[in-house]
Amino acid sequence: MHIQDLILFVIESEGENGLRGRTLLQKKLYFLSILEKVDLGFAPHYYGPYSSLVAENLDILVSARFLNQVTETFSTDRNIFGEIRRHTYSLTTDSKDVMKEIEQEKGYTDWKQKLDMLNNQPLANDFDTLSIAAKVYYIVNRQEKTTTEQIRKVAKEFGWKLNKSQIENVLSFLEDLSLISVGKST
Amino acid sequence: MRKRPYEVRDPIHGLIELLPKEVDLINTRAFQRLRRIRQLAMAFLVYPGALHTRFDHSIGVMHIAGRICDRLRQFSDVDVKCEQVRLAALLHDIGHGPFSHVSEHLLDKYVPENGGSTREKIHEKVTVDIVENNSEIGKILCDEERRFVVEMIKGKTTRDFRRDIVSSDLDADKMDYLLRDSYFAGVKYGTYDLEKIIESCRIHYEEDESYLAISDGGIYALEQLLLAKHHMTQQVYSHRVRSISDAMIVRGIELAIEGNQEIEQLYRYNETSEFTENYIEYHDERLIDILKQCDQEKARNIFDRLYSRKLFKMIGELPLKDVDSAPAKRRLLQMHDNQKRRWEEQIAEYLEISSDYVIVNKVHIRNPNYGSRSYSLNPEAIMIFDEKQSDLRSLISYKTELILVRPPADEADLETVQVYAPRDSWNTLSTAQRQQEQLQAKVQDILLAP
Repeated sequence: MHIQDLILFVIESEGENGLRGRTLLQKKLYFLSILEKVDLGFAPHYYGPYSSLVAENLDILVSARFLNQVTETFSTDRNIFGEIRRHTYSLTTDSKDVMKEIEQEKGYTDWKQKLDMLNNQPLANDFDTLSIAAKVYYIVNRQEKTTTEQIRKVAKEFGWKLNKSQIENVLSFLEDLSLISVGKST
Repeated sequence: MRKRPYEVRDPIHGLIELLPKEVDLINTRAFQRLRRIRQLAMAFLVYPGALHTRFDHSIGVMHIAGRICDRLRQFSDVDVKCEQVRLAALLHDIGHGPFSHVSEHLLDKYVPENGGSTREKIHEKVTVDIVENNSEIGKILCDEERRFVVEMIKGKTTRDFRRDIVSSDLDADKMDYLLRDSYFAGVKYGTYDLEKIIESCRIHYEEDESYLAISDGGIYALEQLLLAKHHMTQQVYSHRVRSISDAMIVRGIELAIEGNQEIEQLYRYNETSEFTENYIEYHDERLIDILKQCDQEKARNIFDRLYSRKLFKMIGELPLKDVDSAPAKRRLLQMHDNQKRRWEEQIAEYLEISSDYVIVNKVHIRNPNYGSRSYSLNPEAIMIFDEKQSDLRSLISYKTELILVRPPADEADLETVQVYAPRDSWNTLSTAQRQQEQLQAKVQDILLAP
């Protein structure tokens, strides 16, 4: 599937209300790319694995009127950016037509099965937890065996701050997706 | 007695002082090659003065990076590492191949491991390989300096103001190329107040991270720079004739690469030192000479045409905003290789020429609207230091003061599909106009057909 089709596909799965937040989209596509073993250009970034290709194609879809984008702005003292902008994306009439084409194409059923598996996870719409899970998986995937403490150390090298309970909290999510197997340390 | 510094005279910045190590780097074979790689490929076919090279640009970037560091020193007790930042800026383009950005596209396309679908930018890997492995550079830079330069080029996961200076939405690279390209192209679109930008530079620290920020007094100069980038893209970087000549270079090399071992070796990146050592032997002139004499007749013909400025013409154009059918718009947006080839064959059949001489090309210019997110210039990533509030904010926070903010409904980028082909028989204006209208209609029919 073309990366633009994948973006539409993930947003469509959120229903009429659309998908809230670019981070959520990034992380869902990250796990989908892992499950389907395709390279969508994810690389370690300040806030976990991030794909500039996803960001760029998301903008192209908005420009092409394939996606509605609604922006909410929140002021905050905590955030150095001065304000937080959250975008909600939903399909337009045009992209609903396009989705009908995509559903008939080769490979769609496989992608659908993987996305359903991801969406059925209780944490699937919590972008914060999904971000932590993405960071943990990015580290775990680089070595055969690792411990919580080692994950924390490697995370530090990437500039990511993860504590023990955050890591443990996402292990079952990763295990349910069959991405890791958790054993007891000796 | 203090040794007199080396100086070089630059048309944009005046006298530029060079440190001995910088002179040594400039004198390496890999760097000297940049004298023969034009900054804007064959843009001189439309702007005759645009003959400047990656060599002068690299020195200009180093100079601006050094000036920013000097300014930041006034606000920080931390070691700015000015000399190392200058080295990284000097070497940031060392991996450029013949015809600058045209080579980037070809390197990405022909990387053998995964059939060209890699998401890694190969030209960045080539740059890093040269810095890490080139023996001449190895004799000049110590291990720490090499590591620093590589880190600045590849990027880090934690934000660092030094990396912001070398490569970011607001970097010394952009500050130099806008002024330089504008000057040599003979246009005024790329000018902005560099002195004010440098004067406004600040460092902001946030826990383990640091940011290059512009003080709030500099936001109008910053906006001038962002607008300059947009106008240069519209008027110079994406000029019709330049788009055609770039597309012809790519097609010519694509046709030559099959069966030509020399060209194949140049573009099939394989992570070996032999690749980079071979790569740095090539520049614009050498590649043109090879391609003008290669065995592949069609490639030779295309390079003969480029050499004598008998360029392909734009025979059809279809702005995506004019496409009503959603499936057609999807095909045009995604432009899969097989689909593109089919369009080229159909148009070639109508023109009764070889499909190798028909090029379907997608041109994309981003709108500088701060309300939309742009890949290359992201107003959420450009930081402003509000001196009265002593607070760091993103440029987008200043939207009430900036003229480029438009409502989201006005976000359409200027995306268009263009078709190029040789039309040598169009020798009179009236014939050309009549034929062009018919051809435009035919091309649109082909591109929009289900």
